[in-house]
Amino acid sequence: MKQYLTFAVFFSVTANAATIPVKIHFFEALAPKDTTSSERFQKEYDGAISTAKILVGPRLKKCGYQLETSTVFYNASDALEAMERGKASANQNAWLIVGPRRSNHYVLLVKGAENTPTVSTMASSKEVFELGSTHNTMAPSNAQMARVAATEAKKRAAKNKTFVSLVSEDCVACVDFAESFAAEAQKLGIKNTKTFKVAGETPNLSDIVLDIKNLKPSFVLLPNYSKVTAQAIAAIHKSVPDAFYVGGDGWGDSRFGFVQNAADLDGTHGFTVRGFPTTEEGLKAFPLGKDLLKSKDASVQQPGSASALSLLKILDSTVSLLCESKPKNKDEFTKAISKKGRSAFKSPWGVSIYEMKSGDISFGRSVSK
Amino acid sequence: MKLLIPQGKSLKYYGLLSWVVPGVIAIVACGLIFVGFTSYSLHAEQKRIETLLIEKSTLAARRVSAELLLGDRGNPNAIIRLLLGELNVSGIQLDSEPICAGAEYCFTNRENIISIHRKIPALPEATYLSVDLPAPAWSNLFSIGTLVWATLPIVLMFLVGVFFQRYILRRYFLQPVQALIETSKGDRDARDYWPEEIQNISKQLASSFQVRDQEVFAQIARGVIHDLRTLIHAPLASVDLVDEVENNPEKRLRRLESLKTICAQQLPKMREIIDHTLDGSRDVSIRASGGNISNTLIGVSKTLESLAKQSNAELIVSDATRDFVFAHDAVQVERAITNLAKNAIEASQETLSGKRVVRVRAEAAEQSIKIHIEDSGPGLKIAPSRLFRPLKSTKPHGSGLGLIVTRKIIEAHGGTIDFSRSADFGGAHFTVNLPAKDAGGAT
Repeated sequence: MKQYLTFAVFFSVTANAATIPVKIHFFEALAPKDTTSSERFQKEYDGAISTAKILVGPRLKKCGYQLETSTVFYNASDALEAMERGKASANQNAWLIVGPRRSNHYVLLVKGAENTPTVSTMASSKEVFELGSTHNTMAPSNAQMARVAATEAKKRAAKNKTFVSLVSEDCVACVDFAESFAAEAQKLGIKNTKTFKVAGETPNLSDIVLDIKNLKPSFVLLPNYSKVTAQAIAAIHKSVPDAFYVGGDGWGDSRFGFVQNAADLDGTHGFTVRGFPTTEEGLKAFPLGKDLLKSKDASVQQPGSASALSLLKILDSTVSLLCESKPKNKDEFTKAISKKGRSAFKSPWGVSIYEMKSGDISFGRSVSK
Repeated sequence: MKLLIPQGKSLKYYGLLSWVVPGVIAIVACGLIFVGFTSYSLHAEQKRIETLLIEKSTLAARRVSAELLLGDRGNPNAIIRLLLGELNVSGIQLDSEPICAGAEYCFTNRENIISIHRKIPALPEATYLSVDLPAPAWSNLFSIGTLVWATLPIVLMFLVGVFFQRYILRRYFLQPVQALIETSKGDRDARDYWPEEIQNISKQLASSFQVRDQEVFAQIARGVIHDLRTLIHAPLASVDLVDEVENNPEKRLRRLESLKTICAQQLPKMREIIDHTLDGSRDVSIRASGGNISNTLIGVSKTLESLAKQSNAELIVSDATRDFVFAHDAVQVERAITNLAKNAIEASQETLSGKRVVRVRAEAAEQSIKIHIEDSGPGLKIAPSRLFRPLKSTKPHGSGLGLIVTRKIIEAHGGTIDFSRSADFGGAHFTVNLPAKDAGGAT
């Protein structure tokens, strides 16, 4: 009898020690042909994933789970690939798909993996927030960021209460931000004199610059990605040296982007809004981040970008959800997320304002949390 | 080719033909090569454009698809405008109706535009995309490569022209002209395919040669008849003298002795004239056997001794061959040397000053015997090349065939006769070169 009992206990312990594998696929437009990313960014992305796995590993194991991660890098100029690879990940029974950061890529990804929970590191357009409870983002909405930007713009650069927009019409988040900003600005009595639309990464701006010079706006709204923004600022600054620029969450930062590294932006000034503070400030806002700051493990890397910061937070939230809901399979995990809704992946950072001076972008302050 | 070219036309016709035919061939070849090359290039260019269209339309379809999938937020027109520049195409259109029947993609050509039509992937409702590129034009193909190909027919024309003209020249100019030489011997008639002019020349030549031959024969006959008549006069006169003294046996006997002497003198000359006449008109036959030239020179010396005395000329005969033995017809060679030496003795009659001398000297050279006949006469009065023509005798009694026969004898032995001026005596210097080997020419 004693022997039987010993065997039963042993079997039970052994059975409980088996962990449930949780497949998480990480998506990002970081293929070599991507002009806004680089091998450096790719390495940092991989580094962030492995750092997160090291930090969450023990807690996850305790809860009875282990992560099986896979990275999917695709060509940024082929957004359809996000949808196709998303479909493939769904077929491979991924429990969660993390990324990509661009709104239009994320929307397409969800189209390919509708029944698989997804969360974007930084997508912020209106459509992202309309995708349903199992599809989330760590970024604040464009509407939120636009409100902050409009308020700040009114305070700092609305002498004659007019502005012009130069918008990349092939960027969903950029168009969405511009519309939200215009609506908020109107509420604050600032008029959008004209919206110029461009497409591609190196549009022809000569006529637009002439018009801007003639219109004499208080500021120029540039809610575009980094490369277009840098080109636009450089072009406008030649004809309108004292122009003030306002951006959305796409200008890049001190490490990655074209504005920071532009050679001909001396004398320019403006600000941009982002859904993330500096990484150090950001890490302090959630438990895993604090653990990272305390960690003395050499293999643990501090995130170098907002995207990596977001990724850490996502994994932190995922582990919390797993340990809380204890799903045994993907379906149960999906239901758990659905039940939690937006609160499953909630940003602790609010909106931050970043200053731009002579192309140099630096953190200003966080406005709302 | 002989069957294709008309025969017996004029020189001008063949000259023109030698240019026209290669020119036509070259023009046709140029045209065919140009058309062929251009067609191939056009076809290759078309295929290249189609491959490019497949590549570009695949990219365009995916980009447009991604934009359409974004619904209201997507901006496919902006993407299409962007793609026009990025892909460097002349047009991109969206269609709701399919153009390709069931195929993944298809091509259409219209108004110098090649278009590819394909379905846009991943869309819930079928939508189609067309991408356009300019179709290849003939003007696009003019390049260094085309110029290189265009010069190839010119090279071809040159080669064909050279070959064809060579053929024309050889067959219609050179061969007929060469054949004219044969015609002069009466061995060849004009060919029907020769140009008219050359056929006419051939006929004229044949006619003039015939006339000339008749002239020659007539002159030779006149000469021979005259000489024989002259020579026969003395024997005939002696016969008359014998008849006059029929009744006087003593006188008759003396006159018969005189007739015998005269006959002994005149008959050999007459025979010589007859022999020369015969030999001048036919090939000389020789019977070669081994021997040395010494006996020949002794024979010459004996034959001409009395003539030299009569002419008051010194005849020097020397032999430096040291009994060199070689194959030759001793009789004919002696005849030839005797003839040359006799001419030399006769020529020495006209010695301007000093002694009248004739020297016959034989020496052995490398693989040949040289016999020098020199005189102190005035030298050759006519060009050496004309010396061996009949009717060119400079003597009062001569058919002009003696030297011809001499040349024939020497040439039958494979030898030659050279002419120069005698350094020692100032007159003519004949050198007979006889190869000192088996003549093998006995006929």
